[in-house]
Amino acid sequence: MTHKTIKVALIGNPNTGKTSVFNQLTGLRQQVGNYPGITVEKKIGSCKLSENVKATILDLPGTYSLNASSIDENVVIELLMNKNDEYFPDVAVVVTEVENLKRNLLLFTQIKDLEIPTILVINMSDRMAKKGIDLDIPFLEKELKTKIALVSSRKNIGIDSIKNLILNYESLSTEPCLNASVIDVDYFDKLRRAFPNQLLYKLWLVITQDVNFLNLDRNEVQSNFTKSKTELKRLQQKETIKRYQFINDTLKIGQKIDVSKATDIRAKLDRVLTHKFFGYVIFFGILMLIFQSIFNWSSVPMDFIDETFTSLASYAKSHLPAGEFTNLIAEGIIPGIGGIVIFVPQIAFLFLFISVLEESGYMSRVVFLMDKIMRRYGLSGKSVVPLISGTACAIPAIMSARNIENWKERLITILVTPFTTCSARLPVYAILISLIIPDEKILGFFNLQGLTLMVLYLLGFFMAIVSAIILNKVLQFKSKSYFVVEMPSYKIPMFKNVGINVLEKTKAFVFGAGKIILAISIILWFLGSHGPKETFGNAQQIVENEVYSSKLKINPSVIEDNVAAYKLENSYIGIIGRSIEPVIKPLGYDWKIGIAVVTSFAAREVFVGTLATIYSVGNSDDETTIKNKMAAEIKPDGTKIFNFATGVSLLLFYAFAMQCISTLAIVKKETNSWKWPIIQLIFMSGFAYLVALSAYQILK
Amino acid sequence: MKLTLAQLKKGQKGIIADVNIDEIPLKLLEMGCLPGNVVELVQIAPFGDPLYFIFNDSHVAIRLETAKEIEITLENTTN
Amino acid sequence: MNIQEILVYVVLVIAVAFLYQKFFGKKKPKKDCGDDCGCH
Repeated sequence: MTHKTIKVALIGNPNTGKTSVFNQLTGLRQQVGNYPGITVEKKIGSCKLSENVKATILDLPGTYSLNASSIDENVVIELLMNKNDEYFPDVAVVVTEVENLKRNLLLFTQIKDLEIPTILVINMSDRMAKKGIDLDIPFLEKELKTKIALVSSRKNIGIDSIKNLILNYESLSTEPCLNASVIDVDYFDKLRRAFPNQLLYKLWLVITQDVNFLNLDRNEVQSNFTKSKTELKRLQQKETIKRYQFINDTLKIGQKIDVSKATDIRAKLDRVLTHKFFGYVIFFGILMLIFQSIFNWSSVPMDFIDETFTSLASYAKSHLPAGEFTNLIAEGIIPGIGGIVIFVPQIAFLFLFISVLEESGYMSRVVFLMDKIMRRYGLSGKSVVPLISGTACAIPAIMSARNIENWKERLITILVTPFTTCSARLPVYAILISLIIPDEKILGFFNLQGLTLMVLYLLGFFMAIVSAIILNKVLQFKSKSYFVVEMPSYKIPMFKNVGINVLEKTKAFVFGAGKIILAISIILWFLGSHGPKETFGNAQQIVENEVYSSKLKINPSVIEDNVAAYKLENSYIGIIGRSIEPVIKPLGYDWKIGIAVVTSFAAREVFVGTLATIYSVGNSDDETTIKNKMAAEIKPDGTKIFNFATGVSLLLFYAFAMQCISTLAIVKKETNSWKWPIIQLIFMSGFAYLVALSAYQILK
Repeated sequence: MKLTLAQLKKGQKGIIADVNIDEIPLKLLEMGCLPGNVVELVQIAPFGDPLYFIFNDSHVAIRLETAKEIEITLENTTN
Repeated sequence: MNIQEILVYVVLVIAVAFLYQKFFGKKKPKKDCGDDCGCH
């Protein structure tokens, strides 16, 4: 039997539940990657349609029309215009939503003009009764020249009918549903004569858009058929009006709305959630709740993971044949992996909250509520989304700044987002806080450690705002301040969508950042357990000589510890560490912390792993957790290394320093220049150094 | 004086008469901010900006400066 | 050198090579497809 694969592109407006349709169709059989060269997320899934036919489904970024205004939207056009593209669809599935059918159909009519077989999915059909909406499907199918699947992705209704329609896509009509060229008959006639073999609507898109179109010289088309920007926009407006006329005429017959039945919870909720007082109270309440719960809920699994890996390391050491490689496993690889896995609970919780806020539609209300305030600082209300998702990771956060229309607002958002406390800082904060802040409750309610964490988060936001104010003054360029934000209807987040999202993001972290952390741990272990022959190689002898010459009676286990300490100090990493010590000493760090700070420039979360590795090398006692090892570290004078002053200095350094290569790379990509990431690196890290320095000098 | 979207009161409806095409984004047109459509001001954000409208079944918030570029006539139906 | 030491050096080389290509090795973008397109 032959196996056949049908290529499907899933297209639709934002907030139509396109992603839940995708999740229902593909389940966990999805792959998330990037489009080559750009950082737009590319989601591909597969779905079995029948015994021997399967579909490869591409979930395209949400777009309002084929007139692209961002790189995300551009992806849609470039794909649909390019028949040679690997993913050029056999059939397009346009997802619309029953309450916004009129507007959603605009995109549908444009896709139909490209003469690609198109299926119309009308989603959220479970809301029809509540909204008093009635649809005449056969009529709509006839007018729109398509097949319709009435679906509720939430209730998992109608998914099979989508599958059936995809299976039989060859019977779909490819005829456009209206003739848009009537908006300027002469112009389009000329165009048709000049390029008789091309689809008129494609030519029109080439003229109005910034897209590359194979087999056609864009310059040739544009130079002969150019019009002024205003003229083109006027024509686009005419085109839009024309399309809406058709849609309105169609829906007048095909859709009945009984207004008396419609209940609008949206309006009632909006009145409260965007209230000039309660709106803010609710917003800050939600933020508080998120941060308190992240700290409280994840501490249990984190302690468990810490202990598990510690005992795993000691098990490996005692049960594997003794030797170098066993040491690498027990002291390098296992603590290294432990240093990755320990973040999983916090990252999962953060992504869970953010994904719930986005899915429910609440995030748009926050944008609305905060726009005027944020604008005072040179930001946009839409900057709230990057700033909040920056608490998970700056990389997707900076990418989400794309939908800020104004370039200056967008640039400032990109530049200040890394100040927000990302999840990579969390483990560093968590371990330092637990070392220097007592685990007590104040006012019988607030956990002091949780409160400190909250202060650090607020500090991150505060610095982001302060630097935005400065940047707003310094950067002198004008750009139009467009701001359009849709207020979607409120939805109870779907467990499946949230779950898949959290899973994907956590997986991306573990396998992306995780590999780097593991590789660094291995190298660090090697550098920590090897050193120059004359000192490192003869450690045993040198220490013993010292002991004998001091003529004191010292028991053998102390000698053993002294040998280990001497070895570490004279290992390669010890040599590097001591050479940077003069720079970091005024901040209150010893060379071991210094190494951890330096390696953190690859990614902040490396800090804990590095210390874990350094403290494990040659350590006879493998049963102590990282936290206890850190607490036990002492200075030559017998006082604790991780005292209050050093702890605060470290916390502040990590709060402000730009220590993430991946973020710098993404800033370069999004701003298209090295200038901005370099400025970020120098200013943030320089500022961090100064603040940490002052803090330590004042507190010590 | 011409009436614009910026002058609507909360809960008031109007009909879009003309849009200044150079000053408003195409995206807004595509969402249905087109002459002839009914528009309702649903909510004003704290500090008077942005404004939250419904037109063409779209629930959309735009800034005051954009709202000023959209002319309207008031619905002369007796409500 | 015994087998354990050899293994250590092998793992070390892999780790260094991985980090190198992660941070410096991305200079040669593939022309036709990304590394996630499932075509190779």
